Amino acid sequence: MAKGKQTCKILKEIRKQIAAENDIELVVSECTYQGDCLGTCPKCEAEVRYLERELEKRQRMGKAAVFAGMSLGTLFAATSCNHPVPEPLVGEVMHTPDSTEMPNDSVPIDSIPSDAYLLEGDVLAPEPDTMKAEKKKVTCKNEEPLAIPGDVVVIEGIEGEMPEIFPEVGEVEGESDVYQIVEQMPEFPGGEAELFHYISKNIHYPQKAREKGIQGRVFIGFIVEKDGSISNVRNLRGVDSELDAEAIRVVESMPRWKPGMHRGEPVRVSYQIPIVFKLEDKQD
Amino acid sequence: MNKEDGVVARIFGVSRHRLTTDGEGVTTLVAFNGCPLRCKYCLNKQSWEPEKGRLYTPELLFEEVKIDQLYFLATHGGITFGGGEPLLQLPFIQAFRNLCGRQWQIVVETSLHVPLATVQAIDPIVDGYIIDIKDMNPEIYEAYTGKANNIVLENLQWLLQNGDPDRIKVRVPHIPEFNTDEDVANSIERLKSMGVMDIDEFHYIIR
Repeated sequence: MAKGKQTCKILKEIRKQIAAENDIELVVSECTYQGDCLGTCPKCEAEVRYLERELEKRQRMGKAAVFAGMSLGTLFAATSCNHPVPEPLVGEVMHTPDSTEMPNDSVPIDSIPSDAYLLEGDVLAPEPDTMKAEKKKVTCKNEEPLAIPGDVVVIEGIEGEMPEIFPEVGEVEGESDVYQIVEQMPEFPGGEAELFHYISKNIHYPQKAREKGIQGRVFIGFIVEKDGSISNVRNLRGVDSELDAEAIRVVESMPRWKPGMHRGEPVRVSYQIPIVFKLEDKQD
Repeated sequence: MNKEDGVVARIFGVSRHRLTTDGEGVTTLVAFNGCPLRCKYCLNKQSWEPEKGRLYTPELLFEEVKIDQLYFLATHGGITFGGGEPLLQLPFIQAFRNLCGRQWQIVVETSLHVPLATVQAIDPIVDGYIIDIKDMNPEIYEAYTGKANNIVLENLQWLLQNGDPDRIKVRVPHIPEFNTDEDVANSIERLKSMGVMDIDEFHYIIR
């Protein structure tokens, strides 16, 4: 089994249990990445952030988060049906002199030379393969997009539900320095609720589309630049040319966001917003 | 914010998603620079150099590690402070506890080679100890670490008498060239007589 796979499976199982215990819809897809990894990736991290937001919502409604106390031993058993004895994990070194030995999946710290985690001295653990100090960069290109459990719902004259916005998963064409998940994600001024209000207030249902009874969900992708400005606004999945154009117009008109930050620096971050155009008296 | 009182520490590594290595749940290992001992087979000798590592405030560390809060809460996990000797960073860990609250588990992996007052001060805010005892024989301990172990034994005695022994795991290594199987057996026997219930015997392996 590739390094990190067992960790990935266990963490995924934890996320699924959190979702189940708190009645949160979480659609997870099987990771198709075959190589070694750190046990987590932008897609995994996005699922954690989604769960956090859902739990916060529930707490605002007076519902306490439920954590039943998961046993990692049980999770090991549940995720290793072909391996009754758990494999050594990435970074986990059995029977070493000091269990605080820093493993190879440590977060790199800028001021340390790249080989600083190489073991020193004369001691070797019995699993030498687990102790290489290679830094592996993991990308999750070409995976299925995240499930979108909510939308900015635009109904004439009626405010819809709170939006769910997600960092976009997948490559942004021609944009090599765009992040998907960063330590501090960019934020619309005032937060998600304000973003929803802004879109609801400024978007107009195109007249022709209304007359034709056209409705549906438009996915708009964009980049929050280092200065918070919005760029590269594009239609990822459209419904109708007029609805698509109106959605793009409103997203392009947004005020500057608070930019995303990573390792103390502002960075470019890719986002997508689903906007639902729904006529008041028309059923799906 | 502890910018006012200037609590900072140098940290040479942060390792996420450790499963059952340092505690019962998902844990993040935070390794401090600085150690009073100079063990021959130390695997983290970079921790000896005080200028290495990144300078952190408790707030900066908290912001970095809280990314895994959901895992901590769901599995009864949290932070394991190691190093180096984490108990040299008492104010930092105290400030960190104030930031993360009581729900996160805080475990220290320590040699206990610090003043008793430090152990007494940190005891109310940590949930568990992993104590690397080296060897209970003073001569062996000093030969291997360069320091006497009387302070270690006093601290361990205090913890056993004043705290909950269930929170204490003591690791007893077979140290090539420094102790024998008989020495290790003697250490374990003595630890048991002191009231230690969780003892982890293991081997250093020399290449």
